[in-house]
Amino acid sequence: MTKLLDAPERPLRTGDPNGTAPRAGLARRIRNLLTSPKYGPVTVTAVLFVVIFIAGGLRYRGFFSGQVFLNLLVDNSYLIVLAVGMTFVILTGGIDLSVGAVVALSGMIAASLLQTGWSPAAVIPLILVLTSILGLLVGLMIHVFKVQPFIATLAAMFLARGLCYVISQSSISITDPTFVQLAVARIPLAATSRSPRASSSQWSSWRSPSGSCTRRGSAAPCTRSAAASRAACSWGCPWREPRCSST
Amino acid sequence: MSALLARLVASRLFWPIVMLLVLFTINLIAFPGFFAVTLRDGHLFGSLIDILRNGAPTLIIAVGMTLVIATRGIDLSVGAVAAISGAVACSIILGSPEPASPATVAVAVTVALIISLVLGMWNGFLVAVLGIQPIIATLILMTAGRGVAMLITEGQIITVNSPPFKALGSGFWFGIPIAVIIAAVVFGIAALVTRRTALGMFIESVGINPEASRQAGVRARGLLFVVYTFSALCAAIAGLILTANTAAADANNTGLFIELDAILAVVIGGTSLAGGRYSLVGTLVGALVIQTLVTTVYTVGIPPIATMVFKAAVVTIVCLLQSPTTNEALGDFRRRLAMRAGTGVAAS
Repeated sequence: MTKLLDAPERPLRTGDPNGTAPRAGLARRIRNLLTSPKYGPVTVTAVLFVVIFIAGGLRYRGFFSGQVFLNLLVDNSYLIVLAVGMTFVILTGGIDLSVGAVVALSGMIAASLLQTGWSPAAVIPLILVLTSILGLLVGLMIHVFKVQPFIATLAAMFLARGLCYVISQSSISITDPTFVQLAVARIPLAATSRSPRASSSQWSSWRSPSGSCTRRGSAAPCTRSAAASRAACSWGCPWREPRCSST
Repeated sequence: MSALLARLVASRLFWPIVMLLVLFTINLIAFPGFFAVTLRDGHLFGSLIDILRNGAPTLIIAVGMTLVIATRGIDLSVGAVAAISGAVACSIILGSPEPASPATVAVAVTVALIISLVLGMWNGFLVAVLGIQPIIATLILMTAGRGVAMLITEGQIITVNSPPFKALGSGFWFGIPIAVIIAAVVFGIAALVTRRTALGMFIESVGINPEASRQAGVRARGLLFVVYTFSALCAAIAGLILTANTAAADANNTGLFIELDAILAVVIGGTSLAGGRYSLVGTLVGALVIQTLVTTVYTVGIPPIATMVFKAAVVTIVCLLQSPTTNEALGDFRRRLAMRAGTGVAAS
C-alpha cells in the first residue's frame, strides 16, 4: 500500500467497472491495484485483454470458444518462448534487437540443412548451439568490450539477417516429417482423451460445439489451402490452416 | 610526438576516422577514379559527391538523434515521421492545380514541417510529461506513423511531377547538390545553437540527471520537448529529401530502417547511448562511414545479398576498436613497447 506513493499518476479509465461503487473501500482497493508499481501494469494489461476478448466475442460469432483462447497460445507459442528470453535481457537493463533475425536465421539453417538430407536429430542441436554461440559473442561484446546492448544486438541483427540472405533469397519449404510433426503433434491430456490415437478426432469434435466443422481425422480432405479449410470450418473452428499429417 | 599520437588514438573520433579512411582506400583500390570530382554541366560529379548527397538524409536525422540521445533518450519514430512528411508534401502537391509552381511546393513543405513539429511534440509529451520510457514512447509513433502515412497516401505510391520539389532531392545550387546544402545548414544550425550557447550543456546535464538539473534550475521538461521536436523536424526534412529524390511518396518504404542507420551513425561518432555527452562532429563522421559503407558495397562489387553481413562486420569492428577495453589494452601495449625501447637505449 505504501508503494502507492511512488506510483506514477495513471488515469483510471481502463476497465474499472466499479469506479463509482458505493463502497469506497472497494474502489480504493481497485485504484491501489491499478496504480501499484508491482501489479499495476500486469493488471491493466489483463483487463485490456479481457475487454478486447469480450468486444471480439460480441462482434463475431463463435468467438467465445475454448479453442479461440487456446489458439492464442498455439499461434503465439514462439512469442512466449522469445519473451521469456527477452525478459532476462531487459532485467539486466539491456535490449535484444536481434531476436527476430535469429529466429529467421535458425529457420533458414534448419530448412537448408534438412533439404540436403540432414536428420532433424542433428539439425536441431546444431542450430541451438550455433545461435547460442552468436548470443555468447553478443554477450561478450556487451560485457567485455562495453558496447551498448542496443548497438551490439543491432549488429547481430544485421549479421543474422544478412546470413539469411546469403543462405537463400527465396523461401525453402521444410518437408521433413519429423520436423513438421514437431509443429502439429498434440500431446493429449488425460481429461480430453482416452488413447493417443483417438485424441485427434476428439479434439476436433470438441473444438466445434456446433458440429459445423468436419472432423479433422475423417473427412477433411488434405489440402494445403488455408482458405479451403476455412471454408470447411466456416466458424467455430478458427484453426488457421489445415494440419495435414500426410504432407 | 608519441604523446600526440597517444592523444589522437585516445580520441573518440580516431577509430571512426580510421575506418572512413580504410573504406576510402578500399574504394580507391577497386575504382581508381574514386576521388575524382569533375565539373559537368556546372554540377559537381564524383563518388565523393554521391556519398555526401546520399548520406544527407541520414546525417540530418542523425543530428536530431544526437541531441535526443544526449538526453539519454532515443527516437525510433524518425523513419515514420519521414514517411509522413513525404506523404503530406506529395499529396498537397498532387492536389494543387499547379504542381510545378514554387508557391505550391513552399506550401507543401511548410505544412509537412509543421505536422512534423506536432508529431515531435507528441513524442515530447509522452516522454517529458507522462514519463514513458523514450524507447517505448517513440515506438508508438514508429508503428502508428506508417499507418498514418498510409492513410494520407490512401495506400498508393503518390508520384508527383513537380520540378521545384524534385530539386530538393536531386537539384544543384552553384554546382553543389541541394540536399548537401540542406544537411550542412541543419548541421551548422545545430552546432551553433547548442555549442555556441549553453543549450548543449543543458541538454547534456538533463542526460546525466534530469532531476538534479531540474533542481539546479534547468527546465528539463521543456528541453525534452525541444529535443524531440527538433528530432522530428530533422526527420521531416530528411523525409522530404528522400521523397523528392524519387519524386514519389511511398508510405511503406520511405526512410525504412533509417532510424537504425541514424542511431548507428551517432554511436559510431562516439556519443554514448547512456546520454550526458555528445559530439556533432562525431555524428558527421559516423554518417559518412555508414554511407561510404553502402557505396563501397556497390563499388567493390560485394554481392548485394552480403551487404548486411558486411555492414554488421564494419559496425562490430568500429565498436570493438572504440571500446574502453581495447583502449586500455592498446595503452598497455604502447607502454610496454616504450619501456622496452627505453631499456634498450639505456643498455646500449
